[in-house]
Amino acid sequence: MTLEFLVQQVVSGLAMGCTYALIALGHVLIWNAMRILNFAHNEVVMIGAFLGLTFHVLLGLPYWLSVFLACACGSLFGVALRRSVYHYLRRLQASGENFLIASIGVSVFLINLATIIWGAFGFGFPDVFGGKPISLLGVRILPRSLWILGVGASLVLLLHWFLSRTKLGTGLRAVAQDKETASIMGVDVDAADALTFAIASALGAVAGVLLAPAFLVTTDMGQSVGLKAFAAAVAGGLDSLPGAVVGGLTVGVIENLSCALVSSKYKDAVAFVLLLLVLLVKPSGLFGKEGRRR
Amino acid sequence: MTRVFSLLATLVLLTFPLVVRHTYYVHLGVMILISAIACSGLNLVTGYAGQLSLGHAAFVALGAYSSALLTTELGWSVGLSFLASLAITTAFGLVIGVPSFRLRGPYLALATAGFGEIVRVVITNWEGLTHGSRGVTDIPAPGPLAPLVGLAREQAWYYVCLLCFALVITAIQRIIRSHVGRDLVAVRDSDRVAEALGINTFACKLLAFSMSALAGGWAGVLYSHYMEYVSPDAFTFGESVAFLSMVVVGGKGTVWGPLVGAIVLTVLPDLLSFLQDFKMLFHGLLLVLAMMFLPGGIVDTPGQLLLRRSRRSTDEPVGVGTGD
Repeated sequence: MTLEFLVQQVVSGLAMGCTYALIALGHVLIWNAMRILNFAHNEVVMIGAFLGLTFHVLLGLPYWLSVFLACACGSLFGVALRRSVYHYLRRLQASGENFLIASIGVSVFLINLATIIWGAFGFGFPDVFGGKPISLLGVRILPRSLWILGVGASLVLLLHWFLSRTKLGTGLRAVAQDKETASIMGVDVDAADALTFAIASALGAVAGVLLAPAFLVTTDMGQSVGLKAFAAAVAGGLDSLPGAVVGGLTVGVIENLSCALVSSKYKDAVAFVLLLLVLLVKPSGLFGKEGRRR
Repeated sequence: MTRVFSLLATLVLLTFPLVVRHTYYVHLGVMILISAIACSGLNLVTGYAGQLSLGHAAFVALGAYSSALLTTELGWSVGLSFLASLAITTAFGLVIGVPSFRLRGPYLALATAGFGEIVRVVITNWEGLTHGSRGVTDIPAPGPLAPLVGLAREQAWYYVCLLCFALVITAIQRIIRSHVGRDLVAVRDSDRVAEALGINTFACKLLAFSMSALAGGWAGVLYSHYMEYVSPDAFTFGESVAFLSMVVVGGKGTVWGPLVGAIVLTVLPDLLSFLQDFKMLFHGLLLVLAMMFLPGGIVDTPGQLLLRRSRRSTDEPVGVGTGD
């Protein structure tokens, strides 16, 4: 076991963790805005990947334009979902379980809609980043990993800048903290929630298109990746944006290392074992403020 | 009114396999009862105690695999392995219940989902014990029950499951009607207030978790010996979610809700089969619509309509939040 090999594994783990982090950020944004567990968010990832495939492979558009279009469609979808289903349930003062089941219903609907449109078999996505590894001080890294890390990091920084430095972002944070006070201060709560959903869904869709070249694009990809990202978000603290990033990256790295060092058999359980270990020590996640019993 | 309804329901449940003799429909009946047993357990923890669980399929899996392996590998009798499997799943329920005491809302939901995924991954990959994704085959059926009373195999199983369902639901109803049940509901509505009133919330949640695991394990044992085959595919996250959907669509926190939910969501794909490829699309759509228009579940709906009529617009639906 050389140091180079270890660094290689960590870098590709960070890249995978980056996509987890992007999805987890969406879960946290949505939780902060509406206090609901939105399982349909996982399907935004899948829809993003399929839209990217359609724009890039079937329509022949450039990759980055396809990413942008998939992202735009994804956020439109998120806004529509909130406006139609969640808005109605909120007015009913529906319980958490009801929101959850409704989101599962949306998820089942989307998976089967995608199956009808794109078929039950997976699609290969061309490796747009180039398959030849770059050598750096003896460490061989796939260009794909670097691109994902670069895009992920810039999106996280952009989100951070938007939420902390712009007036609009401050409004979103105010609404996430206290809806009533925010509305007294003149923030349009409804519009703010819609914007939150748009941003969260856009991040999810980007994660989907970034994942596409690494995996087969299938209708159940949102389920497997999304549930792990959800676990990462909760491990980081479901109300904490830094927690989502740290949780996502940690899950990605440890998953990859356990694969390389121990066995790939139990790969899919790693995220959840981590989640349970974190919750045993900190019931509100690493950076979470809520959920504490006292 | 409710008494007449209960009597009618009991009559239908008792005579169903004698009136509808078609094997496939009796098979559906068996599957409904097995789901209803599992869901009654989930209902105790989620409906009454208000602890959202997304890993119930894990308990069903533990029950199914324990009994399957004890009978096929160690040659235990079905009765003995049944009791041992219940003990094993209840023990797991306790193990899960202790740490979950500190978790609330989404944290508990994802922790239970995580537990479910871990169980599924271990079952799929621990080939030496579970035969991996090939599953366990040739699981023996309990004694020569069927020929004794002149019933077909499915019919006999239907009555076995009905008896088990009756036992489980009676036990749960006794818990709910006792002071423990009132404590559980108090914990659901606000565990801080419940604690201030001197209720031992820890014991309450632990009891709810272990009882729900027991019911889940029970359903699992029935499932494995009825199907004579188990594989990890039957215990996915989707299955946990399906159990929760049955509880919520039927009516969480009601005695008959889990059964009604199990009936509706088991029969629905069959009824929708004329839609062919669009079947599951509509299944998802109907779940969403049920949440939008029957928020309290099917069992609760007549009551809600009456309430709305008598109280008009002052009526505020009561919900169990996950976060607050």
